[in-house]
Amino acid sequence: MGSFLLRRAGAALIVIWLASVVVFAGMRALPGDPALALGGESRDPALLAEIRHKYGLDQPLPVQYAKWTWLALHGDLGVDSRDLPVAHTIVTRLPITLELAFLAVLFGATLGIVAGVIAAWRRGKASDYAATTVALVGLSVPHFWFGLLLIILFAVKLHWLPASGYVSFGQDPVENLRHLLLPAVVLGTGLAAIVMRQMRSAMLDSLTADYVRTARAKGVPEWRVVGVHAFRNSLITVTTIIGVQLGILISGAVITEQIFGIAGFGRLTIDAVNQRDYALIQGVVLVTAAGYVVVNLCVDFAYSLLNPRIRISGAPR
Amino acid sequence: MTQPLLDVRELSVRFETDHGTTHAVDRMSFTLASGEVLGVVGESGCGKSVTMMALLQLLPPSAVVTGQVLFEGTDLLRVRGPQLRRARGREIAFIFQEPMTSLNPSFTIGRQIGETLSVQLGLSKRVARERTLELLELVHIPAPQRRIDEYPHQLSGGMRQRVMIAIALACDPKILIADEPTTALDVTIQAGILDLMRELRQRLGMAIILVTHNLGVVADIADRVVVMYAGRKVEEAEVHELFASPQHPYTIGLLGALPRRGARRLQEIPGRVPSLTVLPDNCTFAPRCPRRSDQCVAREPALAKVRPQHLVACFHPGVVEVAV
Amino acid sequence: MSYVELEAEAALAPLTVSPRARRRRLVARRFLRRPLAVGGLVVASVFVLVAILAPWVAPYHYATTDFNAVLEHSSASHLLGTDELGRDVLSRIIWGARASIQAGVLATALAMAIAVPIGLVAGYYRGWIDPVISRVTDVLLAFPFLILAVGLAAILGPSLLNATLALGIAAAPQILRVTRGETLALREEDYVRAAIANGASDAVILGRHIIPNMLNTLLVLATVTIPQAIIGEATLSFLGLGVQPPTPSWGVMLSDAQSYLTQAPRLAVYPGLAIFLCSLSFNLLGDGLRDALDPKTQR
Repeated sequence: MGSFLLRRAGAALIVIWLASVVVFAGMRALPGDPALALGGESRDPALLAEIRHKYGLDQPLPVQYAKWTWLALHGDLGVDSRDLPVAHTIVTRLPITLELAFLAVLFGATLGIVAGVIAAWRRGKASDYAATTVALVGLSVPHFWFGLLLIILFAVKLHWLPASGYVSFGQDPVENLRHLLLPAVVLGTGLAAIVMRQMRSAMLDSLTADYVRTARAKGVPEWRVVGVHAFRNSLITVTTIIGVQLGILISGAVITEQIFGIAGFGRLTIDAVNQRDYALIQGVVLVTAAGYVVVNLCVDFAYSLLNPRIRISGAPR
Repeated sequence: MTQPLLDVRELSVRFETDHGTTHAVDRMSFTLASGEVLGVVGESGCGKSVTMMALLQLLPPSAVVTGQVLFEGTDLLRVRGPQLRRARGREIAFIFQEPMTSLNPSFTIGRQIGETLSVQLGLSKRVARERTLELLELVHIPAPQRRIDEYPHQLSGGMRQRVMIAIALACDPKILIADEPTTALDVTIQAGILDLMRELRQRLGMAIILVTHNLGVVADIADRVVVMYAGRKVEEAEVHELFASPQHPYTIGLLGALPRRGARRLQEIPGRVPSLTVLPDNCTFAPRCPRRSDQCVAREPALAKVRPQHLVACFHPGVVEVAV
Repeated sequence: MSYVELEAEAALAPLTVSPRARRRRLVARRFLRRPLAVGGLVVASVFVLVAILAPWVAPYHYATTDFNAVLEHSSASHLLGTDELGRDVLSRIIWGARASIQAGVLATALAMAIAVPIGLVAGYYRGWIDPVISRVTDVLLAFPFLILAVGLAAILGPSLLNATLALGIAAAPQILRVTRGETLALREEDYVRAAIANGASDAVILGRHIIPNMLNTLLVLATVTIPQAIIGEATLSFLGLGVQPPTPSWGVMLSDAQSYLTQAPRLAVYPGLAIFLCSLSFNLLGDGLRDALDPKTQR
């Protein structure tokens, strides 16, 4: 398993590096002179030259890239258009989104797995149809609409939960959870729907497998056949699906934070793009790509833990 | 006459699917005495496996099973819940055809054998592990201390089948049903498994139902033989008797298809086993039978005793020279 | 490719093949037996029709304002009420269908036009070109679909056309990976090998054996990508990166409705409902097609 993970880590690093190149080149390829944007649209050539020199824009591209990479590896992602260090901004806002994502995954994965197992067990009966339909609805519901609906219901009409804002966990855990509850539900619903469908499908496959027949022939009680034998094997498939969905979760976070007025990493992304703040965009996109790759790596790790064939012989089946 | 251990009466199985009804088994009846080895032979698709799985209610929900399966006086088709689970694995054990897929890939073989012990006998983990090691030795798996914590994909096909046998033997069952236990294995491994089964039968005295399409295996190990065709029993006799004077044209055909010293060509039986959507009221073998007559197409032949301890369902039974 | 992605691809259920004409009738029958799928087909068609016929179906023009009738509830003259500028909500929703369907269908078509040929080449010829294409795809797939779309839309500038372009390019990597995978698998099929052994040219093999057998998967893929693109367009417009006023779009309507949540929550309900029903119908359609085409499902 060690060599398998090492290879995956190496590939991940390459992908991150390539992503950084793409980001860097993409930013430079944007129309418009960055110096103009940074200089507040002033046309004074002396000022522009000064800005160019300050931001190293007068250097050849490879040199700029090398400098940027070097600084990035040291945790310095430059400063944004308001002279605030990009790395600092990211570091303060990232944990908020991470907590939101964590709660969303907790909610979505748990709900999806439980619903999927029940739907598979009660296949063809009313509860199966109900669960499958609800899942399909959950898949098609656009995040932002769902969020607005929940705000209308729980904040405007019922006044149970706040409509927006964020309180950190350190300050007040209860308020923190109250503020993040609706966003987490919104974000996790899509995941729950997909996980439920996959879990149901995987369970149905497992339940018709030969080893399940063997278990029954051994006299194993039905709850164990479903809950231990079939479930364990289905979990493998579902883990990979969750991993794939995490990327979608990140983009969902962007919208969710917008609606619920949470100043998190997702919101930062949108603001940076809208304001064309190059340094900020670079940093944000790089961190996103790196995060996504790291998450995939973790999922690979979890997968190898669950699947003995990978764990023992390190080779794909 | 002592009561048989297992008495199957008029067992019928049909499958109801969206594509229609398929009759897999039609009024199968047979008995099994304690300590006896019964061979059930027939081509693929004749309903042998379905019959066996029906005994322990292991068929999918689309199957409709009628008849009686009397085991020590109780009808196994009517039991539910704890009684059924006791019959499965503890009184009657099953070995499936495909050792590759019949073991759960996510659990060690130790855990899978141990599961039977803890679920059926309530043994603690420690005791179960000791007994598991004993079982692994019983089925002659080398280095059991190491193997017990290995996963199915780390074992060869022959060893996996031995593990299946170990699982089956865990609770000292009275009957072992082996469904094509050697079909998926190499010929060289086959012999080993058969030796093991013979040894176990001698040591433990359990009855075995051996389902196979390989007459060589039957000749090797069985006491009595039942020949099935298209879901019906067509012949039943003691093993030596069957091989010495086969009566039913199908059995003769099967024997003719065995490679034998001196014979020049393998005799194939022309045609294929039918899949029955409607139960015919004539002889199911008629379309392929070289002895077919008007009688055969008009009525169903009943099982009749043509020689001592030898039943046949045919209008033209008897040893006849088949033209090569 | 990581095992994660291999499993995810396997979960997309590659479909198998058999004599075509007979199958098409069988597929149609299986499809029609599923009320949800048929419902999806009907509703999706309605949306498409409404989008095409908007100028004739909508009671008002989308930009017609009426400052005497601001934020009204449903009435006889305004079936769904009016918005903050007195514009008829129903008409704006009907006109908004245009932006969504156009973006959804065109973006998907663009994505397939880009991705399928490249995927075919990568999967069929392999050699040195396959690893290159695969790595690039991996990098692009490292960015979630919406992030890519948002980024591209920001680069290109806000407009419906640019949004469609951005969505199409962003959706291409997914399609490329599936196409490549299918091509790789089909290449190893016995009938393809037989054709190669018989000296058939690449064009013949691709055209006669590989592409026709991929059509099922591609069809299902398209019906799954369209709702993604529809929601993508709504998202981009919601964020101000897509359709620009006065052109109506469901996303823009939702974004505007945010300021009036307490006064007129229905302004948020209706456009969102439209997005929801539209993408749901395409999802149901795609599901039904996938079930009808997959030989493994019963019923």
